[in-house]
Amino acid sequence: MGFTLPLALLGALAVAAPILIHLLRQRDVPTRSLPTVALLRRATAESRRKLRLRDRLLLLLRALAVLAFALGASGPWLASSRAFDDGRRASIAIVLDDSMSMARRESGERLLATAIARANDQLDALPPDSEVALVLAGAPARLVVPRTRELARVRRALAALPDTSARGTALSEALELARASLSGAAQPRRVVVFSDFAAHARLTELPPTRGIEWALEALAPAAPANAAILEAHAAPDPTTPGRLSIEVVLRAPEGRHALEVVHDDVVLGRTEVGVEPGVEVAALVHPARATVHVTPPPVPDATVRLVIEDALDLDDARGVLLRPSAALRTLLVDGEPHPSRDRDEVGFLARALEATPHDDGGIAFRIVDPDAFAPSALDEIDVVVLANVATLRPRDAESLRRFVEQGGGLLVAVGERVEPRVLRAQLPWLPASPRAARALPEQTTLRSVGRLPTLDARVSRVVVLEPALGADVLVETAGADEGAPVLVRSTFGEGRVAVLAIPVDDAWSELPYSPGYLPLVSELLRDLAAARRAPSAMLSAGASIELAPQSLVRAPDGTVHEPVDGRFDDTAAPGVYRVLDGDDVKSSFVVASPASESDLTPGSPPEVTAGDTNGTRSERRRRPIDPWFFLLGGLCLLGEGWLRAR
Amino acid sequence: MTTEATRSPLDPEVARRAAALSYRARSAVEGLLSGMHRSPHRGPSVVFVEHRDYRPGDEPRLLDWRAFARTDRHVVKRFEQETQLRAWLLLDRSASMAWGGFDADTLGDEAIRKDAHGATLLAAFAYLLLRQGDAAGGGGFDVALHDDLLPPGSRPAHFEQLLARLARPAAAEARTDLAQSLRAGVERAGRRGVVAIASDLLDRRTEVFAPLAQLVARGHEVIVFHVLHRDELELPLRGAARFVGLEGEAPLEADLDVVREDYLREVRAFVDEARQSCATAGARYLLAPTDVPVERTLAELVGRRRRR
Repeated sequence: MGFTLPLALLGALAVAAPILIHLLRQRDVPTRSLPTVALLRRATAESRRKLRLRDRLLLLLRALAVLAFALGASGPWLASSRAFDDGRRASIAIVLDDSMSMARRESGERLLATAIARANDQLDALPPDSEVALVLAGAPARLVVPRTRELARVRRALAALPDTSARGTALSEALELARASLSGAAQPRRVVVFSDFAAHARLTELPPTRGIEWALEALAPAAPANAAILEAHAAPDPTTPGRLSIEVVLRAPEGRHALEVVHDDVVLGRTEVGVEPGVEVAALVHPARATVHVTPPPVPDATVRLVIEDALDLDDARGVLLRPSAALRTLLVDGEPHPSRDRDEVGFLARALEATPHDDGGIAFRIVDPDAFAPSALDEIDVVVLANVATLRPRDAESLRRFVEQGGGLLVAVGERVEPRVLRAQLPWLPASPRAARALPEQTTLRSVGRLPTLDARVSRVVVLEPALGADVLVETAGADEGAPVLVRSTFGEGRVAVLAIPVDDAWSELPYSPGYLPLVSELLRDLAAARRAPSAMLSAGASIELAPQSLVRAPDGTVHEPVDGRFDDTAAPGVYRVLDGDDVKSSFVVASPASESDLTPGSPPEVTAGDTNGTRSERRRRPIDPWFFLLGGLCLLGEGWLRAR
Repeated sequence: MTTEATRSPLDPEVARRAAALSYRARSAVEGLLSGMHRSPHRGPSVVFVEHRDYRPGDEPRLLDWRAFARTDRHVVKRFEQETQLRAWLLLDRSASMAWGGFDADTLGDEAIRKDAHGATLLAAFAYLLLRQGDAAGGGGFDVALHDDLLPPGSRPAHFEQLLARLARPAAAEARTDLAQSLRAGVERAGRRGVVAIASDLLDRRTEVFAPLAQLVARGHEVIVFHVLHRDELELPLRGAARFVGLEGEAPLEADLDVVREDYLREVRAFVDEARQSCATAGARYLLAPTDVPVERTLAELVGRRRRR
């Protein structure tokens, strides 16, 4: 709100006039003699309260009228909250940033709520037959409502938005989605973006589009200090068996802050962390590290909490998995052991698994010889990898079959020692039938299919695989020899089985040297284990997770959700999610807030130029509101007259 | 001495109109002289009351020969005695009676003060009584009966003295103690007669009307002229003002636009309560607003009497 003639506000001093008149009038009332004053006193006893109320109302109305006229004369205006307020029919894509930084509070209200109110305001300004699409810019960017004339549908979608989320920012992708959603629209095309345009969004330019008008509404120009827990990992305390050390990385203002580890509101441990002035990360916050030692009860998870009041509360707590079994438990059956790890059949695989990130529990593994393979140990195993194992004892083969049928994962990697015929006989339920090995042309490479990471590795030899009906080919050959299956996966019972047509070492391919080797191994093993055990993992907000059938998920707010088609993707809120089997907690996973979202340093929205975007940057309009003040003043005078006449 | 003190409360024109009226006491009164009012005693009038056995010494002309013929007994006829009425006229001289309305200062001598109106009313009543041969006396009271109370008399010079006492102005700041004054009046009233009181009755103590009942019990006929100014009855002002009482009441600020209805309700209740209290005590009550001519009030008094 602003004023065209601020000096006219001095007229508001005239509000003293009715007050003075009121006081003087009380003092200057004429004195009259009246013999029946006793009767008058009795009469006024009933009406004195009414009289006092009327006097005060009169004073209020008079003062309000003077104020209203003074304000009206000063030419007040409001900055219009509508980017496009020209009343033209248009096709508008509303991009709403629902990332975690939008959950900060400004003047007591979360920015996301402000953005939703502005979006609704924008909808109110649209004439009939306008089209609206709604895009959310929290990662991953989503087109929530495709372009539609049903504005009520957009309003419903806005109303259904949660008021917070731990999503990262995907503003660039959201703008792309908005642009795409407007393609083909016959009406003027407009995009209005409601975001804090924080520096971490790294939005420097708009998508190159023609004929689109852009309006970028930055909702938070200031940068408040914001403390945050950036990382929290639990590991066995090396000094005390049975205890855990929780390493916490945080950012906080200078001073001492309490750090708590809680599970269902029970404090498991507590420490104080002193933050020294050092490198200033954002507004007055500095990095720090702390360790909390806890002796936890048998619970799978906990929450580390920084006791502080700041702009953004979501990042002041972070879930942490306490149970070491959160790691994926893998048994590597080494078919060709060797004292040198470089020449060992599972040497490369072991190195890759050791390098797997530990923030989701990592992947724990144990290497055994085929002779030492004990079926009884499979109870503690999620995935078994048979690496170049020549033969299995019949009871071991039977144990493996039962293990997979009951939900376990099995990866069979061939090699020089594997005889396809024997393998087919011992494990006839494999997703692909192995045949004889064959050499490949020199320029043959590996290519991933589907969701697996991209591979860039040459391959010289493969075992020919004949995929069974319904099996998925995840990796195949490319280049000189096109399309030969290399990695085939399918389900068997409740478990999953995959066959790799090359060894897991560098004997037949350069796969272990490929940058995609580690992600391939990590994701493949998790994929194979998904059916046997619910994951205990660290996820990004909005990520989807695969769960065992009949599982339920209890969200951090206590609500229980049922996965749809075995997948659960309602992971916008940060915190610990518990996978339930009946009333028992089967496992837990953590949705963590992205560290970058805790940095609330404002960025600047990209400049909208009249170049190839052919658009205009919206200016905040001044909407004069002086007629309303004059109307209010007039109403006050009318009310005063009416009250005086009574 | 003020102008009001010297001016006669009885205007000749008022006196002329009052003289046309005639007042008969409702109950029997005791007077020294014969008159036109009933007496509790028997005497020489034409109104037959009873028979009594003849006793030696009775006048033979009073023997009822027809009764002797029927009963063979000597009885004498007794007739009602008609006597002179003695009236005590008491005027409230408290400060509240010295009020002439909100425009008193503007109107000056034209303003009708309550004490002046009460004095005129009582003077006209006295003139009426004296014209028919009755005796009238009285004076003023405030917290008590004034010492210069004039006993009832019927001579013209006596009437002049009575007028002089009624014409005395009310004392400033004098409060009303109606009960105390009436109790003293009970002692002074003597034989059965008429006690007429002109007052604004602004003494709201509960025992104020008790002495009226005592006067009635002693055989007096009690008349209460309730003198109120029209401005008191209607409060014809607008806006806010600070009101001060005339008998030391605490001042009060009020907006008449707001409180008028409630005030008028209080006044009506006050008048009704006074009327009811007088009726309970056996006294006669007449509202005598200052803007109503005194002869009309007297005519109402006489008219009521006639209806009875």
